[in-house]
Amino acid sequence: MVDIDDLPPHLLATVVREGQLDLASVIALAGTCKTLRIGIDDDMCRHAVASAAARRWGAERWRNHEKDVTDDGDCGPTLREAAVALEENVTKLVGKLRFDDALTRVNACAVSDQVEPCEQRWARAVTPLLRIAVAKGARTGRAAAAWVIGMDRKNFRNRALPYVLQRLRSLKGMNVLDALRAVLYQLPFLPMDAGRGANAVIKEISCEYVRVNQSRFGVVERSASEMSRLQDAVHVMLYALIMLNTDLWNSAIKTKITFQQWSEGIRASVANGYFRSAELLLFYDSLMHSPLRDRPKDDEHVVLVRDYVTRLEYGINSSWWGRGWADMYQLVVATLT
Amino acid sequence: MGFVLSKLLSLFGEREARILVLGLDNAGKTTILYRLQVGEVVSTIPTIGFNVETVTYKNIKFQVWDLGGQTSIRPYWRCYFPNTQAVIYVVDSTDHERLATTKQEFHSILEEDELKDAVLLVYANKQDLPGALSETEVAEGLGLHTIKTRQYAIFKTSAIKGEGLFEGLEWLSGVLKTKTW
Repeated sequence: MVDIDDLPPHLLATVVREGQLDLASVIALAGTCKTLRIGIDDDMCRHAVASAAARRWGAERWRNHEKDVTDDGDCGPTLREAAVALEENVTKLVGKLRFDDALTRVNACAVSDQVEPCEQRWARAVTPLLRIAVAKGARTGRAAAAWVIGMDRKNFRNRALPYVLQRLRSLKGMNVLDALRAVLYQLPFLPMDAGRGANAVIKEISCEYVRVNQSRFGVVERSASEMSRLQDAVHVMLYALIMLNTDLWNSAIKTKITFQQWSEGIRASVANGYFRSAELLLFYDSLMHSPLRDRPKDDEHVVLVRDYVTRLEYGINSSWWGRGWADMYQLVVATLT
Repeated sequence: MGFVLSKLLSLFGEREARILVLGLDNAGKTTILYRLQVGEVVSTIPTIGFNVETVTYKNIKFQVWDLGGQTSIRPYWRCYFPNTQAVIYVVDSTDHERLATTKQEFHSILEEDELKDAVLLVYANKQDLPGALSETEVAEGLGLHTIKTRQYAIFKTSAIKGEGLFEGLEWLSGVLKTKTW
């Protein structure tokens, strides 16, 4: 028995050398593993082997591509076509995954050392496919999203969004409006409709903002009650800014709220005293001239996720994309919807 | 407490009426608003912000603001209270435990000076569920009998089934037509 990363070099070398092989050929090659007695014990494991081979095949193609770019300065269409072909084929593989069962078995291996070695090998083999399945959103669920980032499922709901926010560009030093713009730019899929979704998002943004910006409000160390009031103030301000954006930019709203009306609303709330009039005017003026960024269209969103999945397939694991859009998407959506 | 703000634009004359749709969280406000969307949906908000839908019912155009928020946000809403002609208050008739809470919220809203002339429509919602209080029981629970200075009515509704909603709107539009603002 061998692990997936210990596939016979000659087999992988063949796959890579024959760079024009399509995925059907790769799968066929992986299928020969059984006859080579390297421990392919069921169909799923064979698919996982094929996936691993495909990733290596793709990574090699990517390296060749970069080399080509360096040498010739010509990107060419080959890589993109290869990426599309690869993704289409991996989609087929993922489609055959018995996801819930696989996730249960992988989780079982993660939490116990008393699992049969063959089961551990199976779990390691199938893990890449599970990640891809989650990233593709084909079987979205809180359990899957929690599993992707190695978080305890029980605490996932409360911790997922803070986890994401703390991994975004820091909000330190920004005013509240700039912080809101920064978050929305990085997480364009955040639910901002009515109900608990928006409330939870605003709450977590305000917590994160206050966590890194206490000094903006004068006192570095505050009591718990003061911190609570400060978070409430920021929460109301975020809400008011989103509301103001709606008011100013929705064409169906004929009578726009004036600065005086808006600022009176702020002064009537717990946010009174935390934001100077000049700052309120700055916010109003900024939103009047530049709305909060529109949500991307669905196709743009799909492109983001697809790009992430493609990079995953090619073994590209930069700091951003390694915990990229798709992971965050899964986290937030699974938590808030 | 979640809020839902609805803005009513009447087609008679150039008058414009604003309606706040309020209630505790999980009362069914959002469901009600989407069940009311039987007419033409004029707009879906393209900007980041809260959903705004315009719904036409008979000769009335409802501009519906679907909002959520915690209790601390409520004071901010005072800037939207001026020029509000009506409040639709939604009650979860099965939530016996929070009847006192919703009564408290209800009366604190009524005490807002800017809403003193607003017409009041109460939906005793979730009548389709077992254990739902009757509209009479909800009216008693809210203390509706103590209201002396404004027009009000209560209707039993099932937002899920769409029952009772338009009867309430019928009453509301009739009252608003007789008022000047």
